[in-house]
Amino acid sequence: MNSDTRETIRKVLLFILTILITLVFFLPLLWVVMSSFKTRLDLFAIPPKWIFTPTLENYIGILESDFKQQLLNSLIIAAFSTVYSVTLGSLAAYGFSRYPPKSGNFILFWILSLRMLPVIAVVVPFYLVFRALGLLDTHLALVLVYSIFNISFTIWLLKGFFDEIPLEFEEAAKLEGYSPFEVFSRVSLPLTRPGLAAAAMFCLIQSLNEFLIALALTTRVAETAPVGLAKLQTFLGTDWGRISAAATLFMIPVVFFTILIRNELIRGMSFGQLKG
Amino acid sequence: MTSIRLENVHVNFGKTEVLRDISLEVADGELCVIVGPSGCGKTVTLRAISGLTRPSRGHVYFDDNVIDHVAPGDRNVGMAFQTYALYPNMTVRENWEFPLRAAKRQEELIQERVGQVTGLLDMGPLLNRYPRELSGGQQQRVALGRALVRRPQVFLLDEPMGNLDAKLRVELRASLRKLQMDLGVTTVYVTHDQVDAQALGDKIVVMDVGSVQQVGTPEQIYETPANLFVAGFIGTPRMNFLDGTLKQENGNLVVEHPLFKMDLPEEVVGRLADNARDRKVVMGVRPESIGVSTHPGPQTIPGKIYVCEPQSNEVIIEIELEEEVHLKVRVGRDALGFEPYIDQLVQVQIDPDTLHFFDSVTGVRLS
Repeated sequence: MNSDTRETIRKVLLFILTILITLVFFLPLLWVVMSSFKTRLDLFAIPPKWIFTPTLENYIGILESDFKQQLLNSLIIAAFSTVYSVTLGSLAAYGFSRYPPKSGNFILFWILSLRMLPVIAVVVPFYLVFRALGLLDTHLALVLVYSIFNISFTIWLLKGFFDEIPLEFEEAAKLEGYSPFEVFSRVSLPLTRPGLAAAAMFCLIQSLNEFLIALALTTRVAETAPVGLAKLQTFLGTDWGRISAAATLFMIPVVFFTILIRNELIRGMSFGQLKG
Repeated sequence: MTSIRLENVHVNFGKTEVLRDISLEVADGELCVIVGPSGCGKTVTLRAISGLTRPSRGHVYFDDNVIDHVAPGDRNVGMAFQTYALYPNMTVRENWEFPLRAAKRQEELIQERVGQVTGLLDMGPLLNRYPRELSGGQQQRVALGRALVRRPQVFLLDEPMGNLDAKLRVELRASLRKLQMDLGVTTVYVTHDQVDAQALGDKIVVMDVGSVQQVGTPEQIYETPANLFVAGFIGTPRMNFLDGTLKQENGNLVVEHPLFKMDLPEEVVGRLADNARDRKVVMGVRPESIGVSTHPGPQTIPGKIYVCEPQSNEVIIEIELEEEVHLKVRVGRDALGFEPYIDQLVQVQIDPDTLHFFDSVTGVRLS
């Protein structure tokens, strides 16, 4: 056996291993998606059925319920919170990076500490605050709360990205006659695209997934999908088919968004190539 | 076109004074090289001209106008950074368009200017490449182009060849000089390399520890260095320094060293200031103005070859006169007339005409 064949075998084995690991992680997802197309009978069949006649029954059922509105609520709230957090977060991060205030480290730590708060500790205060403001069960309430948590994260993440950008890029632009805001928006911001993508991704997922605050602050109008999903487990029993269908629908936006920005995310992983 | 003048400029970073009372003038169309070891404040001087650094005292003039409060973007200067600072997310073309778009110029004008710079720097085939896809020399040309494309009235270059290999350096040095002369732009060029400075400058400003040591043409700086620092900084290998005493003897002025004594000819005496008698001095002698031979002659000093560094058509020989007293000599192979080897006994000949004298305490040139 020469070294070429040995190399090929090594590669094939590695490939198989990669596939196996991916499968382990992918199996639950696959199971949910499959379940969403199964009838109740197929769902509980033992041994599990891998091949079955798919049905759209679960989807029709779930889309006729409140879940459609809940999914929409989730998307609206997550989108607004993400845009808001990334916009304000990048501005603040740039400020901290380029015009560090006195005791800037203290302020930064204070901002970070917001993120460290266990959510359960602030649910009740938030409830009281929003009740006083008359904002209970509104989209705005959740957008605001999620942004509080997300902004602190985006500031920390993006400050690192801005710190990495050599000052000369900005000085060059300044000499060319760009205003300080243009220097930010046209030179520095485009260079942090991988960071922006990662921050947006994170904010979106956090806002979509959040359960506890959504449960406390909403009742009907602004109720989000995670809350709706949980409510499908009733004392009359759990409709796994519908839950699977709902979960599948809920996954689509995240998957779609990830595919959209995957190049930026990959570039973000090979971070640090900016110098030059 | 524009002339630049700095008047008593001081710059402080916190409590450290990085520029101390800098005054200098660059005439319209002139290429002025600021040279000095790293940390001497040459880059800060450049930044003070560009407006990126604000002087804590003193004034900067373009022509006769004070521009202390003019924003960097309104000074109409083009600057090439040491690191090039090419926008990594833009192609060469976009890098060049970017400065023009700041002024919101018309698209045709932008394309015309980019076209001109492309031709000038011969970058046609590379316009759509990203900076990371270019070699060091090409990146350097892009950086120059970006400074040029706006047709600035002042051109500021910060170690533009710092990252290039020796061969490319020499090539680009020539083309840079040609370009600057063709365009007639007032230019300030910062470098730590005294060879670049000698090769390029109409005028050289030698700096050390935040202040100007000497201003002059390359010849002036080389032939009459103002102090020990300038004398030691300009020239390769550096000037040899020997301690000595100036004395009056039988009506002649002589310089005395523990190993030798030399009569000084009339011209040299005439050049020296009147107070340069009976005092301790530092003698400076350039490696290229020392002769070496194998046979003793009048006023030769015996020594032993310590190290020998052959160059292409020259040899740099380090000669030990006695323990701890070494002289470096640079001499053409033909002029030498023998094959030097280590530990060879030789005779050194110093022409008193070529001696430089400096005060042994202050280091200031005596003349």
